[in-house]
Amino acid sequence: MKREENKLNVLLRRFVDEAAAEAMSQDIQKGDALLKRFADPVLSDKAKDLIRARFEAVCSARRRARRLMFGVAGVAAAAVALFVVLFIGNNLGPSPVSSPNRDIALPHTDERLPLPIQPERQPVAATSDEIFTEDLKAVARYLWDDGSNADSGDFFTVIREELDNIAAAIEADRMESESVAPERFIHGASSEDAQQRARSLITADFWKG
Amino acid sequence: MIEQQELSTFIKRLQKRDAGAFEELVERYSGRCYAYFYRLCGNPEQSEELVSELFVRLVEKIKTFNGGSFEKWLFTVASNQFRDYLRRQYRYKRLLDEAAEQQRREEEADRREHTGEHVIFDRLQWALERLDTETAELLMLRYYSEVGFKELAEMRNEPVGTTLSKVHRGLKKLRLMLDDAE
Repeated sequence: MKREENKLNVLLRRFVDEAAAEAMSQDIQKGDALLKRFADPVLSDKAKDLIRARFEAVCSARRRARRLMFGVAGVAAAAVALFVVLFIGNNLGPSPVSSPNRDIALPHTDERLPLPIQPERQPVAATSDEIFTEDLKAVARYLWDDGSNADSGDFFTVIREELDNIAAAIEADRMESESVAPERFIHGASSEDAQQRARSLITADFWKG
Repeated sequence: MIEQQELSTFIKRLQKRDAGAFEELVERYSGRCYAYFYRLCGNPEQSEELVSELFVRLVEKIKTFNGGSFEKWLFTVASNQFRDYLRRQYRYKRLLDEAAEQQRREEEADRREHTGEHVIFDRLQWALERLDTETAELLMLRYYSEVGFKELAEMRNEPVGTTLSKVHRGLKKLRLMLDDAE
């Protein structure tokens, strides 16, 4: 009590002079003593029980509300997850616009079936282009192996002869391919045939100089 | 006053919504809170209702308590609640016209006489009813919360000097009234 009195004096001296602080302190202590003389109103046990009951009702209502909230939140989360899964399944696959052939059956889509048997490849007769390429390779090999004639005029003679031979071979090939088939007498030559013939003539003229 | 260590454990239990802790809270503070409200409104039923509301508020607000004096925090909530009560009363009175107010007073007086409620609890109650509400509230807040002047000033958001001065004047006035009554 004495300690509290001293504390109050110290506090009061921050605002008023020492004498005033002393007087105020005494007034406050007398006032406190007066208040202590009166008994406090007492809360009846019945009222206390009512407070407890209300208090418990509020607490349990809150617990119920929290459980309900978590339940609703859980159901909502599950619904959202389900929606997302369905949405991805329906919308993020190949669309008919981006892959118009999605309904066309692909060959051998069933892995359980045996692979289809492929026919063996048969040797194909060499075409005129392949013959020409082979001839050029032969000339090149000849010139390469026989480098002694490189400085003489015979070297170019040899080349010319070989090229003439190739041109003759091409011409013979062309003549053979242009030989008129019997049906062309009926239908006439197509524009494609005419273009091919013109190309062959130009090639032959070139080689003949 | 609760010891600091004990208080800390008690608050943790309250924040975890331990039913036993709330029971303890009611046991420890309901009497002081009831007396505080009773001294200010002078009506036992109203005071019980206010205490009941106060404990519901404490359940809602207990998570906002972050250390310091528990009494200071509790009686700040109680004080705010009393001010809300005054505002409600003011609004209620404003809604009634003068004649209806007069009729209500007469009916209230008759009811009190009939039930024996007209007896004022004690002379202190009589004196407090004659003080202005703010001073009465300040004196009772200090008396029942048992907090120091610094904390009291913080609770009321005013300088310590102002609180000291108001308490001093209020107590002096109260003493004069009670001395005159004797």
